[in-house]
Amino acid sequence: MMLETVIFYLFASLAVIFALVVILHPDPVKATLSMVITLFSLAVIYLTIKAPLIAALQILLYTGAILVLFLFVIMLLNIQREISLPFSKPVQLWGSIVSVGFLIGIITNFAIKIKIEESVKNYSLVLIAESLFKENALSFIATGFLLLAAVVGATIIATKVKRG
Amino acid sequence: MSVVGFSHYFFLGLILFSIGALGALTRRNGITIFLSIELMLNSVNLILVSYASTNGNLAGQILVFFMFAIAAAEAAVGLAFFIAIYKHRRTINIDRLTFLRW
Amino acid sequence: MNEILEALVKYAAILAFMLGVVAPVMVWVERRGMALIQDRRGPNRVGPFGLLQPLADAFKFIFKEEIIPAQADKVLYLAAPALALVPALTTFTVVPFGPTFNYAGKEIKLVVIDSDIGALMFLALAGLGVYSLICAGYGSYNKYSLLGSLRASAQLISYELSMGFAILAILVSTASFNLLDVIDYQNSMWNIVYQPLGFLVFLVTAFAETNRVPFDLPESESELVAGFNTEYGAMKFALFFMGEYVNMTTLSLLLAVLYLGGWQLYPGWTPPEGIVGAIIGVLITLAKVIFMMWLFVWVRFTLPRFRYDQLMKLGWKVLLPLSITNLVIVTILVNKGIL
Repeated sequence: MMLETVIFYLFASLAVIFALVVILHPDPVKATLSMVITLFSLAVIYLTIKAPLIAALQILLYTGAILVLFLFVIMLLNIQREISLPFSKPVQLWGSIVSVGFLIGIITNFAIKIKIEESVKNYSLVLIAESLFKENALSFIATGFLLLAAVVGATIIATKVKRG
Repeated sequence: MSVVGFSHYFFLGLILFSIGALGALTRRNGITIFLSIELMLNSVNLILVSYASTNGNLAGQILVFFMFAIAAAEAAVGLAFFIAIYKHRRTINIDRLTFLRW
Repeated sequence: MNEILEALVKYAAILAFMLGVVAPVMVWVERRGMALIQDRRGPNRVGPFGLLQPLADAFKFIFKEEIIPAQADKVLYLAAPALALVPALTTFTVVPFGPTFNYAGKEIKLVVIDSDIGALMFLALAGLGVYSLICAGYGSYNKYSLLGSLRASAQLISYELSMGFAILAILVSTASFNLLDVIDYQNSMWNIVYQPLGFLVFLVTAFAETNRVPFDLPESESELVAGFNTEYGAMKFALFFMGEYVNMTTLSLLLAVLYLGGWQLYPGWTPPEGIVGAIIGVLITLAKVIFMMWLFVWVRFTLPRFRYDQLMKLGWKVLLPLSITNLVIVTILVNKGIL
């Protein structure tokens, strides 16, 4: 079907463009809002590979919760625009060389053999749930504890103020 | 893959990962660096899900499910760190945060 | 391709109903209802009983001058009203509004998108409403707007949690994310009887999610001028306004589906076959929605507004524990095979 191809290219280009805005925009609020668009586009792309649960969770967790947290912290901290210009320091120069080199390196090496069986099945929620709560039950419980630890840790770190 | 093939998803993930790496290594603002890292995490999620569903496998989606939980925990703790650092130093420009350097 | 066409037709029908019927009628009902409760006359100049008042309001909105504050961040400022409509115009796609019927040998479901993860999609899309408020507050360059938007976003994300838990309890007993299954499940008895606690939590969070009194802190006119929409006038304000009404309708519909048995006249009632039954079913759903909408208006002019700390206390210390308790009770009952 043509429609899915169009959808993929539309949202892939949206994701890339706004990802560039995220790392280039000096205003952190605008950067975070661009990130919202990038992640939303990725959620749409998940729909084209028949992963609706992941798409829904992406919108629910990333755009609905994590990025709102970012915006809150930015507004709480009153961050000014970044002072140092991009590429003004050797670290930044090296950083860009490394990341661009990484991209080129992997693309040139991608002429390799990734084994693809080309079979997209429609996974029902029941299958995912069974895998999640039977085979991976232990990891699931561990994740619960991880989140609990994160909540407690974040509260303690953020509220502790040294006096005197 | 139904329409556009796995390589498209892989390249998209790759480009996003490189953009994230570029941002994380070149920006000086703590929050933006954190955002770039989230971007890298997301690109990996995309590759995982697309590769797994290309191979007719469920493991990728399960793994990404756990990555979401970990990303949430990481964001909460990381942002709490930024708040704590800001309280002490009045800045989160990482060039100014040199108290572990001697 | 046919499915997409069918979904688009259903979407257009609901959209026309929401924007063409619900929004204007609610404007009239709200103002006349306010007058009734406060023992006044209300609008009675335009048309009989002031029925044409919404039309007059619409003309006023259209012909007002569009003003953009000089210091405002234009992109965010203009994006905010549009973003307010995005969750409003997408969330109702997953909520069923009538029984399934056969027409010309084809089974037609009266829900725009019959998805396996309908309830999850609803929560996800509803969560996007926060960005409209943040953009409005940050873009307006006005301290009242910013305060209002910060309050609004804090309120929305805290109450969303309780709402999620309340919906989750329903889904646990239904064992499905599909809202059509939720209605089928209520054939024996409506969920309001099984989960009164969950119903209560959902009702309160529905008020908070739509920024209605007693939770309209984001736009409390006595302290923040008009909160996040202080700087918005003319059509931009009208968009916020419409978004609020559409959200109210969607939440009323969802409440009817989750707790009041959707289109069932009484528990176990099945509509007659064919298109007539479908119309009766839609009308019954509509009656429930209308009752809920009236409740919104009723509460607005009866209860005073919360203070901000009271609001947060209610959200985190009362509603969240209540909803978790509800979830635990339901899970235990389901496990024992009682529910």
